[in-house]
Amino acid sequence: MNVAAEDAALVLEGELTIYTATATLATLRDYLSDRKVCALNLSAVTEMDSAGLQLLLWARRMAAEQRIRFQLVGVSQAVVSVIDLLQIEPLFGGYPTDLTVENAT
Amino acid sequence: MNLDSARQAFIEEVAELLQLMEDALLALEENPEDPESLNEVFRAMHTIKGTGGVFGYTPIVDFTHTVETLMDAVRSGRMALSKALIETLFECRDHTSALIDFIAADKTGTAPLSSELQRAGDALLARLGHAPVASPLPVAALNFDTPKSLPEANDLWMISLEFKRDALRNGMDPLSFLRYLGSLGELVHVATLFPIVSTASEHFDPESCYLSFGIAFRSDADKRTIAGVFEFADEDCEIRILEPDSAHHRYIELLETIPHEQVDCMGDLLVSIGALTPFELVRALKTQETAPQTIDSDGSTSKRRLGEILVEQGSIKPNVIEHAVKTQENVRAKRQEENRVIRVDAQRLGHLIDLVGELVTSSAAIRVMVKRAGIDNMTEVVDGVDYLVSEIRDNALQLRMVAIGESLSRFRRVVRDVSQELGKSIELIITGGETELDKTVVEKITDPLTHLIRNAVDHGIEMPAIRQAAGKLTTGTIHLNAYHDSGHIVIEINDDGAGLDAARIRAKAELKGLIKPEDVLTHEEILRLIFAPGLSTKDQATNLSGRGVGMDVVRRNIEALRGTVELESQFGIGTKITIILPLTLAIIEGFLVGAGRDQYVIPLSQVAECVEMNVNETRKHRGEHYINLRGEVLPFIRLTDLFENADSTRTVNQRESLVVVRFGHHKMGLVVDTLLGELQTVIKPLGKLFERLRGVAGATILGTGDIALILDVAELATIGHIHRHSISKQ
Repeated sequence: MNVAAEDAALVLEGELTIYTATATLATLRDYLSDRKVCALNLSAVTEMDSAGLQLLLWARRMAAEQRIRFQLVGVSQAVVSVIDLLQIEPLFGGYPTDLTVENAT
Repeated sequence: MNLDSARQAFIEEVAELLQLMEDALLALEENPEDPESLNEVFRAMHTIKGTGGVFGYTPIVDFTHTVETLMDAVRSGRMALSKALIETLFECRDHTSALIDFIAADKTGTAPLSSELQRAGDALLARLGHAPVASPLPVAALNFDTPKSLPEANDLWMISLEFKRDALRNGMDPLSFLRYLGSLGELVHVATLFPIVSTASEHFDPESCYLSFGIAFRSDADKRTIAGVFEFADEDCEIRILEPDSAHHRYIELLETIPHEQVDCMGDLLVSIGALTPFELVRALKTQETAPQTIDSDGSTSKRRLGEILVEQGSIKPNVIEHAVKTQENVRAKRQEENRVIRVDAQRLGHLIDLVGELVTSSAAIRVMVKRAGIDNMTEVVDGVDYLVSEIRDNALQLRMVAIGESLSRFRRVVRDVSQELGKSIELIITGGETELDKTVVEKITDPLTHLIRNAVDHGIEMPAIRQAAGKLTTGTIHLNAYHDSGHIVIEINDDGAGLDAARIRAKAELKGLIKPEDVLTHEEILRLIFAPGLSTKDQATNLSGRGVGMDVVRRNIEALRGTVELESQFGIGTKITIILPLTLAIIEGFLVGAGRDQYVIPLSQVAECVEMNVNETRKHRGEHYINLRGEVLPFIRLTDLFENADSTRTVNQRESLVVVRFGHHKMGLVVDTLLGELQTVIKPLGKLFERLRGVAGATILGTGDIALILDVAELATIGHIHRHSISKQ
């Protein structure tokens, strides 16, 4: 997986799965340490599993704590299918939010 | 009449009414249908309410009113009178009594009810409210709060998945479960929980799983199918599946139609209708096992209800459990009734046993015929038939067998009442209540037993003061014990009372002319004198015993049942009475012998051995014959002498046999011509005409069509005894 740091958007490519989770987390930590906005470009993600989803949720959480915007600037089909499945589109709608991930009803 | 004396009258009247109520309740315990007793209870409460109202005793009016209303419902058949309800009614009676005591103690008549009484009353009334149900349904104890994380929705399955930390490392992908679930129906709503609240303070391991999902799911699949989705996630995920309400109707319908054999375990019941998955059951059972045991109100420990745990774990909705519990209770109640008894007319049963008796005779006849005809092939068949017939006989007799316990425990009341009347403290211990015997025997033994127990209470156990002086426990003990012993039932009545005073019995017997002062009697023989007519050792007759209906009647009754009664007693230490009875009166295992021209049956259980008669070893002493049996002196009777039926064709030198019989602790010999072997046979009573015939218990028809007399060994011995006495007097 390559990480391109241009335009302040973090590009995540390839697998976003348990196999890459540790590396991706390090990348996300790095990226989030000095940002005014958290923009993730996931258009090149070929596969995403629960671990990948957790990373997104974690990043979103982190951004909320740092009071910076969180947005997905590009999504691949693999990512969309997960977001649709879990009906969490509103969470990643690009709004900086102080809500936690939706809690139980 | 001033108010005070009126009040006194009221209190007395209530005491009377409460006594009537208690008696009626006791009667209802025996026979819950008795309309008179039901009325009695109702009337008691009604009258107390009425008079209580006149005096303005509101607490009494309020309390008795509720009980009265309830009794009215019972009386009119709208409510069943369960055992539990009778128990509660006893307590209501006691509570009313307590209320009256309170009023009696309160001179002013205005004091408010003590909080204890109030509470006790309220508790009773609350129980009466539940009274229609035999026992409170366990559902009442269930917590109906639904689990917080799982809201109920009307037509949606609610599924909660809490993955464990290691789920990802174990190769699970929670998302794939959701995808699979999505193939079974519609994921209407998914709530994703990611419980990391602070990324700075909380460690986040990207390879651990933090996810939980709450899913509202619409599907026509059944619970088993849905649970199957998560089959492989059991280890790594807390799964809860709550069915939609629409499924309830189906469950409830299924509960109604479930076969009765399947309701034993609540868990299995729910699994069988698909309301619960096996895994959920296993998990709940584990919880139940590890849960601390609770102490019930009655002091017994009990495990947590499975239903309670299931609801708590969110495996099932409360109302399904409720229905399941109801189904279970209903079926259990029904089955109990089915299992308990089939009521059969005693006459029909008697007829059956008569027929079986005839069958036994016929079977014996066939055996004889086959033997005579010498058909070898038939022998095997006859053996088979014999075996079956004896099985049928045993089973038929078994039908009439009842445990003796029920009739023994009625003596508790006898002992309690009599000992209270006499001011004695007596404990009755009953053991062996499960011992079974023929119902006809049970019925006939009750009177003699009652008499013996009253004797023990009245004459046996001393007054507490006397016992204390004698260094005994002030509370006397009467031990009733029953057990089987080789085809007989043995009933022992053992008391640790005063014992029998042999010297006094002897003195009294001499006074009555039963024995002569010069007669030499053993201790045992002296004790047995109390079975003679008209001998009572109690100088002072109480209203309970000592009024002429004495031990002689007891002995006669027992002997009429082909039983024996024995007596052991040590003065100052206690008395033991042993009653030995045949298990049944209908059929006898006999030993057939020939003497003279006739055949006789000796009860097999009384036959000790058969030996060859050696005339050289016999002695005749004062009219009685004795034989030296291996050094032992044994009295014997020659049957042909007794019945005066010697076969004239028989030569003097022909060999005779000696059948050694025992009765109680005694032995004697019967000299017979031939030994013909064992047989089981039906006892035919001899009829009124021969009622006075001694030494013969009945008759039986042999397979050959001949009639054989059944000998009563104990009576034969007495005949020999009298014979001896009459000779010695000459």
